[in-house]
Amino acid sequence: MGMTIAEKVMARAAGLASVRPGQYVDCKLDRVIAHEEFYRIHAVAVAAGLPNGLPDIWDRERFHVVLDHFQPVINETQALRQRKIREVAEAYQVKYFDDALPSVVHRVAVEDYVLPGELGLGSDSHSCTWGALNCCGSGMGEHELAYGLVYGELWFKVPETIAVNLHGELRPGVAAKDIALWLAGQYGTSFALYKSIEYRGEGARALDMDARITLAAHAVELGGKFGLFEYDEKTEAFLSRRKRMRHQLEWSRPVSADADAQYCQVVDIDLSLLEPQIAKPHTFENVVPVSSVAGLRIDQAMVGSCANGNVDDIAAVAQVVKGKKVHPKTRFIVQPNSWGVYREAMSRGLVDTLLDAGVTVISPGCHLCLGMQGALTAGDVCITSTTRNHRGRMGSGDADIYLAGPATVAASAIAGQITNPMEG
Amino acid sequence: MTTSQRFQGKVWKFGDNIDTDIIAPAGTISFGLGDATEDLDVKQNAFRAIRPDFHLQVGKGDILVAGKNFGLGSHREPANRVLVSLGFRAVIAESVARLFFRNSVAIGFYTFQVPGILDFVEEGEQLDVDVENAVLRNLSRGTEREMERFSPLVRNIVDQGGILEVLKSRLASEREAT
Repeated sequence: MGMTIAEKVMARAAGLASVRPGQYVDCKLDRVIAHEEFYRIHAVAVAAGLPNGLPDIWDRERFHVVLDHFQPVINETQALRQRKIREVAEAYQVKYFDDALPSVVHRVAVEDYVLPGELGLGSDSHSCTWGALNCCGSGMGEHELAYGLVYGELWFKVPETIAVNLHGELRPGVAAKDIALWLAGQYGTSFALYKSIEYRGEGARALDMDARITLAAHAVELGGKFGLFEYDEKTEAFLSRRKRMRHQLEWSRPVSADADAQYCQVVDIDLSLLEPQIAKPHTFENVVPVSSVAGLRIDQAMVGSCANGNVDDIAAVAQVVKGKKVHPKTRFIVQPNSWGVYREAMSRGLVDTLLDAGVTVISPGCHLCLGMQGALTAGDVCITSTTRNHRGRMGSGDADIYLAGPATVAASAIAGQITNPMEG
Repeated sequence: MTTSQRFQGKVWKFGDNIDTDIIAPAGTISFGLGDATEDLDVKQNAFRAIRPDFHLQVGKGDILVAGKNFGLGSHREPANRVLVSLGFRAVIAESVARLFFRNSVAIGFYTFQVPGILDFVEEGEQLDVDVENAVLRNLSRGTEREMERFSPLVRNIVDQGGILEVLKSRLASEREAT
């Protein structure tokens, strides 16, 4: 019987010829990446009675620390944590430590660190983003990462896999974000609970890497363990532009699903029929077409995060705002998700276009997505292309967060109210 | 009768999609040193968006019952640990988000998925959780039902007190072997 991508990767990592969904296996880890929670990994080990923390790290070539959530820090307590992280990183002799390179860890991971066919764990729930690069990435808590860092292995339950077959092409104004939102609207945030999602078909192959990053990142909003794409010429081209860690490129082992792989569910989406979607407060599954809430006043608009701080997202914003002005009562903040993205956006003139329109473009990082910058107070209404609209995520529990694609956010920022970019 | 394998408690009941931003709001964990100050801060703010001052209401040994996808969202281990510091003995939900479930196992805290739990119990009622026999009893109503058994692997980790206890045992056995 054939295997899916997740089954093949886990079988290889477990040293088995094959595995089946539901099976418990011990897998060797190919990659671990921690952000600020690296300190907590050390702290929980100390609290558990290991006075010096972890006795060792199993493989320093496969472990990276990337500070992204509080970079640059905004207060003294965060600064204290950064100091402690530096001390711990030095004590553990961490080889790859992005200490002062503001960027979202997942964008850095796909740009520089993870490889096709790997099984990787991150200290962040959006580590499924790495699936854009054909890597089985998933989030893990600090206790388990402590174990994983010492022994380079961890227990897993082999997930069932859902195939999402994409057909046709998205229309202008519609983005990968709308695919994720549509799926959540149809099937809910438990759609892929304990499951792996594979995005397949000619519609998936036609998506650029940035769109794949959006969909892979949102696997976790659909409940999923992994959000995977096949390796193809776009993956290859993306990897070939890697600037750091080129000495590991030869470790790449792309994994393709077998033709007779077994899927627990198959969903077909005609992308050409999709219209812009929006998730109303306070869950990712509270989805309606944008047109049904058009006209609602907004105070703030944002585009950024692991899912939507990519070059294509910024280009979509630029296309909408070019030659226009952001509504005088709307704050519009854009945060690229890496310096690589930032510089490409600059070299293409996108940043100038945004600044001309009155958009605030801030340094890369995770800030917008969780209210570290652009926080909301009671009564505020925010439309955002970030990852979550949970109550209280960006400050007040009495603020309303709407999630939508970057073109929808940009069109809404110009109008000062929620606007369908296909009509705006 | 209360043992590690069988315990009783009063139920606090929540609906679907209780996310980690509700359980442990991001603003409270920005310090992130995993120390007592953080624990207290997370505890005082837990569930504040939907149940302010929840920490003053929960009693030791209480049981949190919820709908589908409990604990979705950020990986955020403080969201798991705060349930312990609030006094909860276990979570029983229609379904549980993957990371939340794993983190629960990793810290040695019982989290059960029991489809139909919302119909089985109301807030304030007393539940009897019999892990050994995988049976759940509603003591206020005199009803009972089965639960799915944990896999031996998962139960072993929880019973040892979490994955770091497993880690320490393995390190100790390796030291003895050398």
